[in-house]
Amino acid sequence: MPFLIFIEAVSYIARVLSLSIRLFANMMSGHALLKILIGFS
Amino acid sequence: MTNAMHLTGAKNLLTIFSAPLDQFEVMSVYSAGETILFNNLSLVLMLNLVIMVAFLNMYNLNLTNNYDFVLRNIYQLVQSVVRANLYIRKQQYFAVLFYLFLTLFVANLVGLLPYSFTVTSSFIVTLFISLLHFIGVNMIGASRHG
Repeated sequence: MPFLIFIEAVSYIARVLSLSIRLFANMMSGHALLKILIGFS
Repeated sequence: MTNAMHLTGAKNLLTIFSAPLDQFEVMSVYSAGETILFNNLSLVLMLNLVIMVAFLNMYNLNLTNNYDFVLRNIYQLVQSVVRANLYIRKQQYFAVLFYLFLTLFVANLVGLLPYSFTVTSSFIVTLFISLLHFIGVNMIGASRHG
């Protein structure tokens, strides 16, 4: 049971970091892809 | 002024288009001393805030221009998402979610402009947004149910 509390706490805190990294990575890759496609034309 | 970044001058147009990661470069616009630093990230953040406030102030009940139509559609979009996912009693936090949606919407729309800067593609901004809501949600939850 204490192990379960530890796992839940870690996943609750890691969700903040993982969702912000996801937004950052999606925005960066999308705009880099747009810039590359503009460079082709 | 040892580690302050300086504006490197006007770049060649060809190198801008051939280097796709140069658009995420944070460079200093104005710096006075070591405490006041104003880079293009803070410039575009202020631009986003001005655009958002101006867009929200265009609200008019009589539907006299097209901005009201766009704003009403965005409002109804966020409202449908909130109604589908939250209880009736928790729908008082609609304003926070509407503000969050409008912030990301304006930031990504401004970032699509050429020679502009995408605010949400820097990690400090996304980390700030997520930590702000995490701490707020935990404080409200602890004060209601603690």
